[in-house]
Amino acid sequence: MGRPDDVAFGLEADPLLGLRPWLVTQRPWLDLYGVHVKPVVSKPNYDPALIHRCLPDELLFEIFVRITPHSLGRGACVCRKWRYTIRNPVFWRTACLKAWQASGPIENYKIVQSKYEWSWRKMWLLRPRVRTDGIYVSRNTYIHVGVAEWKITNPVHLVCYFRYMRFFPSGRFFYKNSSQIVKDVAKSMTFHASKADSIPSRKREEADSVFSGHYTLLQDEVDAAFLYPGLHPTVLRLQLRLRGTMVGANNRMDIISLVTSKETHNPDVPAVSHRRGLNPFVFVPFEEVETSVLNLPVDKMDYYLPG
Amino acid sequence: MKDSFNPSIEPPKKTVTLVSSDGYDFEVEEEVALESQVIKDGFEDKAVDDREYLLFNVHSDTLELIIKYCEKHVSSRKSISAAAASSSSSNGEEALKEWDEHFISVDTNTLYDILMAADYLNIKSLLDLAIQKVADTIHGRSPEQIRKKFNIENDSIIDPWASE
Repeated sequence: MGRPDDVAFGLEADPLLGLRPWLVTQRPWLDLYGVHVKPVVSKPNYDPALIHRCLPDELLFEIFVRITPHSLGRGACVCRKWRYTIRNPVFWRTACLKAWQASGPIENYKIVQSKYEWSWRKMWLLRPRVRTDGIYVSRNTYIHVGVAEWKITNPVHLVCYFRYMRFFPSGRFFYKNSSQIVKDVAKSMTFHASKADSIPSRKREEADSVFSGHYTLLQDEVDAAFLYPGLHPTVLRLQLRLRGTMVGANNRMDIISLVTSKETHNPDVPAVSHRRGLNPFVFVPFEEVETSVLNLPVDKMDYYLPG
Repeated sequence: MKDSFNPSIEPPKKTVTLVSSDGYDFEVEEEVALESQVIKDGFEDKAVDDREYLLFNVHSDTLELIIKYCEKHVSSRKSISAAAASSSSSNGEEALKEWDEHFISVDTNTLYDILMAADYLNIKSLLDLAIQKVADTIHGRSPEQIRKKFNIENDSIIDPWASE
């Protein structure tokens, strides 16, 4: 029998060999459908990217090991080679086991098997997680009626303050209540992250009024609590629900409840459930801290819809 | 080899010859060459006269840089441990880090050559340094910016995140 089509075509390209009459299998039926089978003309094997010409695939892999999951997602959009490399479940397994380390590896393996068909990447995208590569900001405003002085009869002030939360994969979080804007606070929150072990925590909290506590994540609900130290220690407990503006973003947290209770054993002292300042938390990654709209002063932006 | 016949005041330094792909010989001290894990493995089995390594895919320009790196690391490790022994405070580690930073600030082509050579010779710290440098380039850029930076052709036919 004859040679397959592609061999014949490949040889035609060569001027010398092309002259010889090669036996080609005729497939006239394909003409009936208007389909002319031709081998894919391969482009000259030259990749314009220096990185692809120089580095073998395993070194490309080594590079991807060292970048954050967020950047990996962006990297997957670059080209097919990168996308194929990043599909490797190793990256996503590492990311998942780190993000949900509080529930332990065995539990994570169970979840990925039962809910996400063994796809770590799917789990990374679909399972709610607390993001640790930035801070959550809740911007709240309220109107404060000023004192009526003798010319101005009814002055009104718009007061703006923020709640900040920074989470760590280990199960700790930092909380700060402040009127400072995002870019001023972000620095102090990261500073603590790197120096957390060297400075005694109590001293730090006093210095910057950054409180640290522990949180737990159950499905999409975050339960976080910390202690206000002082003469009458107060426990602040936040119940939050994670959601995202798109799949896998996890960039919003609704406040379900915010309760403070005095740390006493007296049952007559009731816990106070707060009703104000419960705007949803918005996630600001560290690279966008400087450019975020949340930095705008209150006279530029009087109302902010988190979406 | 001549040194071994006439005993001088200092003991002769043991050297190893590294031959680059374009045929240049580099005579380096033994401990500098031992930075490379590949050379270290099976180093003892080799005869002393035979300590010559043909590095067939490391160009002489790259090899020169690699040797410079290894020498610096060997000497600074010595000075750091000396400082630690005399319990005097030194910022040797930081100085070395700064030196590394400066060392790896090269053009892309050289960087990839170093990366390849470090992988080939299995020099862990240098490999880490070079890979981190490339990874930093990727970090915080959009796909379009990455393509532009690395001169990668966009051959994607579908949006990766929309596929499933």
